[in-house]
Amino acid sequence: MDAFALDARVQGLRDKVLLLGGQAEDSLSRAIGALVRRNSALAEQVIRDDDAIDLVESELDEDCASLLIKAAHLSPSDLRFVIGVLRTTPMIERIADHAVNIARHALRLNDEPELKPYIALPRMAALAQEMLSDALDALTQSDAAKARQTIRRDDEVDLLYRRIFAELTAFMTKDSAAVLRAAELLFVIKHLERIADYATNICEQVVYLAEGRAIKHTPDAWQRD
Amino acid sequence: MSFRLDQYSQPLLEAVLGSLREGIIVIDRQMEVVLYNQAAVDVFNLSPVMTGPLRLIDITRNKTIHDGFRQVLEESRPFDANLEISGVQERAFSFRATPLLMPSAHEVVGAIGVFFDVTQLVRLERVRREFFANLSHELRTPLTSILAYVETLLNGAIYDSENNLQFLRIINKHAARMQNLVCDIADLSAIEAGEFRLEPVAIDLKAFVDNLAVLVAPEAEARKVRFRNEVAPGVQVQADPQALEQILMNLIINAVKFNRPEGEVSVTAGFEGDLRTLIVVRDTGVGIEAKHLPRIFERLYRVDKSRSQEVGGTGLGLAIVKHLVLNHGGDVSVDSVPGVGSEFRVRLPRPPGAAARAPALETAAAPDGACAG
Repeated sequence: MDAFALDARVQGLRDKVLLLGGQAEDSLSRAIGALVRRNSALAEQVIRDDDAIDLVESELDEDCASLLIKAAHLSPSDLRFVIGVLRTTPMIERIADHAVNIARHALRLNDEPELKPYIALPRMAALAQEMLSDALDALTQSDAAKARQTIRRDDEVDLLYRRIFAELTAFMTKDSAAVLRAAELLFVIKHLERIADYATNICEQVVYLAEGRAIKHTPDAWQRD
Repeated sequence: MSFRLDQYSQPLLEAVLGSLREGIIVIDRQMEVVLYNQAAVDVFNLSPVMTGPLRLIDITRNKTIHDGFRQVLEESRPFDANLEISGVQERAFSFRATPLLMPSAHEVVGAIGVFFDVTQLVRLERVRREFFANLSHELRTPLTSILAYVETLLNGAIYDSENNLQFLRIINKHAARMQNLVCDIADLSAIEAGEFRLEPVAIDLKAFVDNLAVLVAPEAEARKVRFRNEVAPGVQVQADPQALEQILMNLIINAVKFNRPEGEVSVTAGFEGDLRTLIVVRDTGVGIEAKHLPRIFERLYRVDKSRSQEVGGTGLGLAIVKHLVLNHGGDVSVDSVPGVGSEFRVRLPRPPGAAARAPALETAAAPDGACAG
């Protein structure tokens, strides 16, 4: 898909959804920074900024609706793009919500002594961040190959999730003083795992936009390159 | 209204822009990218496969940048912001967008964005802020003690013959500490400003270190640390004697202070090729954790605050060492294993055509004035 072949209004829509993606990326990166660097001010920022993200989501909804009403004037690729945006926006918004939740856990964890070590959590966080960034890049470049590569990385995230889950629960059994903090971290890794899932869903939309075929719930999601 | 460059101005403009260190992005009113330079490619980590027309959103998803450009297009006045862009590593930029006006058009035809990398400046600013915070702390601590003891004396303790002398000794000790700190700061700023004129001469290291051993002895004996001069005969260095004394004394006294009882400090030296002389100060002390190593040459950086109080020192010694060595055109580095010891390596110029035979030693003159020692 060539961005310049799109109707000007659809182009505006594209700018807006990608910018929303950028804001979600930013929220996630700050939320993880708040957690790993124990910076509660950063966490509070993430929570505060979420209203602005929700607002853009509603705007995008309305923009799509008003474009669809005039559907007769739009080319099939324009229409497909609008549908893609309609599907992608809620995923991005939910990613931002998960980032906000991570920030909330960070606030609680930062009031407690540091649970040493945060084990492989920073790696899992980095991986989820990369997946989101790659998914948005794939969306920007309408790059189905990149989208498929990104989808495959979800397995790595799931693997890390299970490993850290086991490590954290082992921690809890060993040291009862660590139970509360380890429990908070269990939530954090669940949020990260969900973010990676949403990044995967965005990638599925990219393939749909680029190739006009739905690959959701099919093995094709990761087999073709 | 959109615009394009003509066929002659384009290559010229691209050559000029390509030579700039600042990232530059020019967009038109439709937020389409008209022009960008190599520095912008580096800033935004743009992939080479991105060919053909681009929109601003294809380059960055940063909201501040989009808001800035949009404001310039709508209000036609400049926009300034500080940004953090995380690519391979976190970098800080000063971002300025200005309206693009063309003589032929009556309105703003686009906007120019300039991205100036201020990562290093931000880092220096942090170092400066920390320096002043540390400095006021280092000065306040002895000053608080002095004021407290003076007040006690004024309130009658001066007639308390059992304690008055002890109080005066404490005041004296803290005043001396403040004086050392002020002197070191004066030295350091003179060295940094290049006002400390170096007069390098050929120096025989073995004899030079032997002279220092006399100065080190009281501190070493008090701490039961053995000092060994293992410099081979004939090794020379081209350095300013007073500066060299300051460099080596700082390193050796540190090695003694941060040692263990029955520990050892040794100085070795040798030529390194035709141009350099390597001096190594090794200790069997507490060592320095790897995470502190990159910062120990910063002014007033303390590895262990409580320990520093105990062993004294101004916290400026290693910064002075670094700058004196750099001013000689040399370098200083450190390796350390916690619990085993540290090794400081100083590389200084080797005297031109250094003779095999060691020349007579010029003893380093003791610095004059109140700041000596």
